[in-house]
Amino acid sequence: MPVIELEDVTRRFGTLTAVDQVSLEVHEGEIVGMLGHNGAGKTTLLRVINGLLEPNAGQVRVTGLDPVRDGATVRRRTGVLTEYPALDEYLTTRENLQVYAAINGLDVEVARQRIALLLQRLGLWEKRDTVTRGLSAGLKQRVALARGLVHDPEILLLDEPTTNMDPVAAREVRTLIKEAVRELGRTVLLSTHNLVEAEDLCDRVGIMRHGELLAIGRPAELRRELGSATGLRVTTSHDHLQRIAALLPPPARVRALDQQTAEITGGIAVPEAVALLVRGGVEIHRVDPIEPTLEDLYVALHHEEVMA
Amino acid sequence: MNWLAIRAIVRKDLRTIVRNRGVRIPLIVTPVILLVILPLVLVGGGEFLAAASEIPEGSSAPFEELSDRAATHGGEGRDGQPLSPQGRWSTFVLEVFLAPLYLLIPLIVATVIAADSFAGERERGTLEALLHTPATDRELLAAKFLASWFPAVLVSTVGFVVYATLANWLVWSELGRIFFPSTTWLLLAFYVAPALAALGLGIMVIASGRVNSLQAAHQIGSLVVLPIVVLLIVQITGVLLFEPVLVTVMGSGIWVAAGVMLLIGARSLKRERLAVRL
Repeated sequence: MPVIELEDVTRRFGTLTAVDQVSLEVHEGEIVGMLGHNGAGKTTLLRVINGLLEPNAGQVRVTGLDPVRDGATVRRRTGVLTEYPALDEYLTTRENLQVYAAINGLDVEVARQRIALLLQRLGLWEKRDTVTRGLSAGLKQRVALARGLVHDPEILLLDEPTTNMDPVAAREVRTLIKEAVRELGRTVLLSTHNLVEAEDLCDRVGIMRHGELLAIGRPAELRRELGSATGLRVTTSHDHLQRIAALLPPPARVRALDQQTAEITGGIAVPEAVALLVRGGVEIHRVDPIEPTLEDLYVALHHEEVMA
Repeated sequence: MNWLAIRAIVRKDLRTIVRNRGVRIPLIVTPVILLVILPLVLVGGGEFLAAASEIPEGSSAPFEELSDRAATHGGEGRDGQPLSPQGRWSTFVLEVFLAPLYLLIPLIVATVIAADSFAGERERGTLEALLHTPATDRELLAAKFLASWFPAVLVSTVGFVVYATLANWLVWSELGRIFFPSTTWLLLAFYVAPALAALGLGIMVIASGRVNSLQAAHQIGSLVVLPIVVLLIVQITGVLLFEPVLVTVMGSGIWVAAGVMLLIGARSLKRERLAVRL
């Protein structure tokens, strides 16, 4: 049974449809990422899943429960990292975590141990008694993440988890998320517009635009299904390499990678490029299509919308 | 009701109040002005006003109405002697004139804290994190109410004790006995003031569902004190005098109004409504 299940979920604010007939299943132990621009509906989707907002249409189930009717139970099972850290800035790092441990019903001793563990794991031990308004943006984000993890939730809903973090801190957080999933069997649904992060972290990626879920799948599947190769690499002899540029019409671009390999980009289709080279007498030893990155897919899907 | 969750939120809010200078200062300055500085100034100015009361009838002397009322106020002085004009003025100021102003304290304290607790929490973005917790809507309301009501009642009570001490000290030389607090003042401090704090909170809970900024919440909070200004005018002109029966009726009315406001406020403090405005 999926841990999170959405069926044709729609959420409107007046005339604005923030989430538009989204269907999605997230299974136990999975990391699913929702990619999209600001305003694509990612944050609203997370709020609907956690019972803060009621869907106007469709059904939401989290561990089989309705987040609106059984909100308290659902929210005890989820840990949320909000888009902005939004800490209680007059409280220390430790006090921030203690408050949320108590609200989630943790025993004082269990909370003490859990908080100590999180402070050490997230590199916050030295800042445990610092009032959080004095922390850097990256440290605040880490405290906010610790706040979401303090009650050891089954499901993590992470809204832009590495925003404002330096690359090293962001990598640590990604490692922590992976560990939470691999070692503890947690389930993660995250929103991001960091494509590298999505590719690195997620088992499956959904692409959202104007509230719609345009596509969802494993990054490799998406590339195969939605993207065509963005170019090709051709291996040939050194002599033939020199002739390639002259045989391909604009806007094709040719770049020599070494003595025998050329990279051809610029939108020309792989079969067309190969046919032109063969016709021109180029002796081809090997052809490697260049797979589109997630970024290419993302840009292409948004470009389609703009053109439409 | 999960009282551990409620306690955690109350403690969080109280810590924020204590550590946030913008909230802490009005909570100290307002009672000091109304209950220490103002009595000192008014009682100290008694000599001038006593003189004003000697001005013949029909003149347009300033404070004439006040001084007329003061001249008929008060009981006996030392050794059963009638009070001097200054003694009458002092006891009038301390017992009658400042009574409505005392009521400003629970209202101001409650609305300042409630504004920070609701609109401030939204402005700082911390409300969303709270909405994502298992705390129910009722628990959130209870926690927010207690975190504002307790400090308002505490500040009012401490202010009352300080004021009572100061009042007796100021007229000791005239009366030679403890004359304060009267039954009316005891009712004001322990029956009406907590009710007013609850009423102010009820209004702020309703307002918090409709405003997005701390500034807007403060503006609504400042409107809440207007009825007290009316009470002040009514009291010093003698149209309506604070007496035990009247104060009891007034307090009961305020408790009922506070209950109604909190019920209406509870309806507006729904997760969905708050989340829509995040």
